[in-house]
Amino acid sequence: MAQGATCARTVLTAFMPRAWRRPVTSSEIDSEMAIITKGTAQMLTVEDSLKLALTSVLMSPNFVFRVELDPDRLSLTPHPLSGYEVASRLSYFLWSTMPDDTLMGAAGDGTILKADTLGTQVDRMMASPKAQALIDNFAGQWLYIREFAEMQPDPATYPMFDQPLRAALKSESEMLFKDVALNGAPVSTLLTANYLYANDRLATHYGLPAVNSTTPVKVSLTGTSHRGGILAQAGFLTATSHPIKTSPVKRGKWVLNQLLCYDVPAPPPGIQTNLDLSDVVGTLRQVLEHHRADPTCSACHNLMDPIGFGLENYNAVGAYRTQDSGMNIDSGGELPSGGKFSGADQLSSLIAADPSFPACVARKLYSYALGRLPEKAATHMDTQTLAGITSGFQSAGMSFKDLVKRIVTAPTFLSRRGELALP
Amino acid sequence: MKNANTSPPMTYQGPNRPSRRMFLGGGSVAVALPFLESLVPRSARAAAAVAPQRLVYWFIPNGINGSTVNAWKPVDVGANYTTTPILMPLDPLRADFQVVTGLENVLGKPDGPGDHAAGTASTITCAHATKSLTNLMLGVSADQIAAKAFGSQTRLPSLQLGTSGGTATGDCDNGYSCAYARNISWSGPATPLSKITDPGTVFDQIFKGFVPGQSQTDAVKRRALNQSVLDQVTAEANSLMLKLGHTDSHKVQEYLDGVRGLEQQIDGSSAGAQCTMGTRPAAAAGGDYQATVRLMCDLMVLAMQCDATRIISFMMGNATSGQTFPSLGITDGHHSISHHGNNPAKLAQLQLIGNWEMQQFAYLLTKMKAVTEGSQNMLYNSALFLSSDVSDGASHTHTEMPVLLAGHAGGKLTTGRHLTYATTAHTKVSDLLVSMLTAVGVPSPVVGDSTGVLPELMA
Repeated sequence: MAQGATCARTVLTAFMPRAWRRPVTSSEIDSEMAIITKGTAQMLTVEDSLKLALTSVLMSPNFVFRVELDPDRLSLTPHPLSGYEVASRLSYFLWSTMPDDTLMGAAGDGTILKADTLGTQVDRMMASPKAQALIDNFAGQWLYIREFAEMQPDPATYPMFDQPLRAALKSESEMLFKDVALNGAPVSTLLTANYLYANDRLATHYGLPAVNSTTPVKVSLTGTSHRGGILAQAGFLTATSHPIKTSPVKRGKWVLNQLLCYDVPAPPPGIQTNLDLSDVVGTLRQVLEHHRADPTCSACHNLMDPIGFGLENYNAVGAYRTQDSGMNIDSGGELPSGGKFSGADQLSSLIAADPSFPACVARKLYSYALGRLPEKAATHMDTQTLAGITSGFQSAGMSFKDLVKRIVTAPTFLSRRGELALP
Repeated sequence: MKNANTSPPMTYQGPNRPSRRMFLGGGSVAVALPFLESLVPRSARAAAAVAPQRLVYWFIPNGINGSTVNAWKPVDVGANYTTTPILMPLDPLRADFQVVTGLENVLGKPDGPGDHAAGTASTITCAHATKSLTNLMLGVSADQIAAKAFGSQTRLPSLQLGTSGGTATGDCDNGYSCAYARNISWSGPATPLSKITDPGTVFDQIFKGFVPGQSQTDAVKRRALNQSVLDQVTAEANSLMLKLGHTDSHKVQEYLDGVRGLEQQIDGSSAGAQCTMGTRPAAAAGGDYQATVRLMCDLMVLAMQCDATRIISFMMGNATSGQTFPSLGITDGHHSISHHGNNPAKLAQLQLIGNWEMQQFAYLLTKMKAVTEGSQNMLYNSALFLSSDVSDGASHTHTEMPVLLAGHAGGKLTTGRHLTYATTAHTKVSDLLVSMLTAVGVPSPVVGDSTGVLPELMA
């Protein structure tokens, strides 16, 4: 037993700081050792007793939560986070997992709190395969890639929508994001890229020449391919469609919410949101224009629908088309700013040049990094911090990695404050 | 502070979203307890002396509609009521259930839009969901009130099943958290219980810890040791809460509540019935929806037969389910069709869907009835509730809710009729839920806005 206990203590001493992502005190180890003592007193083996102690370590709120302590729980004055707390924020932001030994080392000697160390760590972490988590989780949510798994195009209307195509759409969206995020191109390339990632399945869907590969390869686009950029990706176009038809409303709302951070209010209470328009004939655009005659609807739909109309050349599974219900498609549209366009290419260029776009990217990533929405009050630290991040990011060429560095060195990332007790 | 094992939350829509988080740092994410099953005691099981009573809560999304006003509601009342196009599949079982019309669940009405999420959340809590993405506040659901009363008698206090998963974070319906749209079972006002949607996982849950050879002494010893782990976790949580701000401290408290729920399992008796394990089912081919519903029905019966649990909730779909029904010739999504605008074609499709949903409920009832228990059967010994988030999918009403009450609760409930309440009486769904709980012996239950039992339901 004595030797077994020593061994168990060695295991806990090594395991607990990793599980809790910070150094542990000897009294914390003692508490877990007490479980082992009880177990062996009940004639359990040391190994089985250790299992119980490890269960306790992993059930502890110190493991389950990312703990950030407030020395004064009721103080609203910001205080700097500890090195270990910053290491966790950074690691969960970029890797969605616990800090590695390098980060823990930099936390231990305090160097992680310096701006230049943070910059070096960002470079290192984004070069790591673990940065895939940022694509899966940030792009997965921001660009709706996570929704691709649940898209349900009607099999009778769209028999070509099969599992290999679903997989190819996911790869296309992820690989473009990864390329832009890691290779220093301006984030507006997400909209204006003159290339895409396709395998043969996707090339067929897009009417492109075969790429002779079952895995996605980078394909340069020339002429009028009607592809390139996220707004022409069939994944996005399908995720924002109904099973049997497109939804200019959903597509327009997505562009406003996700790319321009333009909040569209919810429909007023009691409104009929799915009008019976079976007696109205024409393209979907003509049908929807009919319903926008209602002033209760038009205030918001005048913002959303004209954006979606610009993407009507893509059907509910993102295939290119020139006709809807036997009539030619009019892909003219308009942004709330008044900018007029025709088709996905022009829409993408307009958004790429709109200052709301980089501001929106900064806002989305800031929110992701902190795990909360930025406060909107003009006097709040978030507002000033985010404004500074945004202008720096824009003037420095809109590189994603530059944006990451600006966020992780911002005062709101490196500090926190307590909270007044709620009434 | 946030859950270390999920990515930070991100939300997309809705203007001026209210937030009372006015401090720096830290999101708030509901805590799931995925790894706690290992603490379930490996108890020996013996045949039950008395047939247990069970509760099943069955949720259907998007309300019920059909081509005529009486597609669901029978035109006449009493034992000899005329069945309806939607209820037709249940008619062979007419002695074993009753149609209850005219009940309301008005706390399901949201603040502004969001009827589907708020209505789903209130289905068996009969409580008003606080409109928020992060600060959840609802009520305790009827199944969890039962679980607190007698869930400890089985290895799993209750089981939550569904066909469609998804996380409990994010905006699912006009500013209502997905937690409201995807969970009908709530163990506390801020604690949704996530459901299992994979049939194989349900099977594993039913049979986890099914160790016939373990002696009673071993089981007792094991429980004592598990208790020491829980004591240690509780102590750590309590000490941590002293050093956290209000919101974070509240999150740890919620977690602690979940941990304490485990103590009930550990303290629970190990009495149970004999049952046959059978084969672990694979997920339905291609994720086929209709096959998945059937598998879930089979597993519900299996779980009750093996007395792994006596309390089950089942969501046929999440709020605003966009399920298509190709085999019924329905290729548009359910939610989309449910906004029927009185279009005859859409109403006809909704009637087909409603009829299909009742076929599935009938399948479960028939299977339960086929399980003999003493001189009776499992269905006789159970009470089942079926309802939806709204009554009419287009107008989003929370009055005249579609409600079925099936099973006899061991002879405590009346069945075999159409019972209707005048809408002017404002009789509550919650009082029907209270009647069910009372029938299975829960003392003085209160569900949401309930006022008491409905005496006419009691035999």
